[in-house]
Amino acid sequence: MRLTRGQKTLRNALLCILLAALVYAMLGFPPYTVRGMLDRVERRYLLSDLEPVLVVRDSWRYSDDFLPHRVTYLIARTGDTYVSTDFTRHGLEVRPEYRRNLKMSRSALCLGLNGTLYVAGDFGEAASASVEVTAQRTTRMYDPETEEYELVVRDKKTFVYEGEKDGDALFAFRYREGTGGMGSWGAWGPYTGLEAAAYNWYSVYPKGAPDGVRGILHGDLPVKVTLYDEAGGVLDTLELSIDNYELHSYP
Amino acid sequence: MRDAFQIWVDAVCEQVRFQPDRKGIARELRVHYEDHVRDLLRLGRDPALAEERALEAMGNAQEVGRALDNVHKPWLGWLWEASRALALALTVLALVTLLWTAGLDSLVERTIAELTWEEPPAPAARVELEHGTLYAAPGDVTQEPGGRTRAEIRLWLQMRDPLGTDPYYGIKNWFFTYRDEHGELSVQETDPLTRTAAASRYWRNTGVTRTGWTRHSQTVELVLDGPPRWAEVSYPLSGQDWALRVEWEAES
Repeated sequence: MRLTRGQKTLRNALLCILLAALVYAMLGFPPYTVRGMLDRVERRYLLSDLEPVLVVRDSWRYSDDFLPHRVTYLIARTGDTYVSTDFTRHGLEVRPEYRRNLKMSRSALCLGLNGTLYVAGDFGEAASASVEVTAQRTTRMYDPETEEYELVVRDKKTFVYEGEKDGDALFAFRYREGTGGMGSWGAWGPYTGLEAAAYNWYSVYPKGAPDGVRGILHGDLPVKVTLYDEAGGVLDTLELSIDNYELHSYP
Repeated sequence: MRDAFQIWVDAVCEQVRFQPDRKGIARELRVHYEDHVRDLLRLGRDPALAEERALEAMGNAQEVGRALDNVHKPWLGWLWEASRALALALTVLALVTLLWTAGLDSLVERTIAELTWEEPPAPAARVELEHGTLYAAPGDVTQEPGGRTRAEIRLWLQMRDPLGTDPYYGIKNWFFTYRDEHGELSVQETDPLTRTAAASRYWRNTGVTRTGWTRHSQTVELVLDGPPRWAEVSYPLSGQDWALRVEWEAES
């Protein structure tokens, strides 16, 4: 049977739809929009009606990468439940939680990102806010022979920042000193800010290891948020916590 | 120098707006023309006369060109070309996806899990959620020396569509809450900071998990101080007010 050009076009179109569906399924039905990403979060975590509170986009490229990794960080809420998550797109592939695990909490949630601490909650009545983040020098030693752990905690330091309000559900607290990156918190930084503390104050060593062998310990830093009204009176305080990796690790 | 037929065929092709077809049209017209010339030569015509008659028989170049242009519509031609290019590109993309990602493995494994999914038993507790139905039923109970008990809860999740399913953990139950008559169970056995024992009663996911396209199952293990009677699975962090109660039969 000889097909007309119209019939061939129709055949090709059907083939394209089939191939596109196959590729989309093999890629795991990746979402490419914020709404699509929230939709996926709802399905994965059995939630409903998530609405975005914060969307931050960034990208990076490994030295051997042809295409950049484009990451979308999200905070969303449904009722008084807040979630933070990320989706990383590399070509057509989109990976959820590629950078960090999803966090979920009631009433409020904080997220550290690129030198800014975001706190999401119901802040309709708050005119301003401040945050206190407390870091404590914490070292865990591991003895491979006895397989025992020893935790040593030392001095604390509380860092205070003023927030910038961004809508009725978000405050942003900028804590980065300098230009960010290794210059602010790494081996050549001034070692004075929260970012440096989050990086340098949490360590894990195997006993007997040579100098310089250090792992960075995960530690939850207490975060106290104070909300103020127009007159400067205290409206409320929130007790939250944040993993030190969120405060220094970027992207 | 162009011969008379070439001048004619060029005049025809100029009328056809879809340029990619012009070469093929010219080729086909030449075949017709040469067939006709051969027929006339077989009948004993002079070669020059045969060519002249055959060309006359081909008709008016403008009219033939317009008729062919009507058949070879540019929009349909370009659409056809585009559909070919797109089909080719998608074929290559499908092959790349198949070879360079876990595409084929994932397709096969998930399809097998979908098709071999065991329906939850009839008495399983269930809750209808926006995107699917969650079931829970009691599983095996094993006693350990020292009085510890491991009680399994089996979970099934039937989603309404395959979108958003985690290919490795179909049921993301990290934020579920498990409680029994003695209270809520801890989510972890050890403190992540000190690595010391944090709780004697806790729950954890076992490695027994099946992830299909829309149908998933998973086994959760409760580590308890004694034999279980009942347990409740809930998800208060989500703001949803539901609880699935599972009950174990008392040993006689």
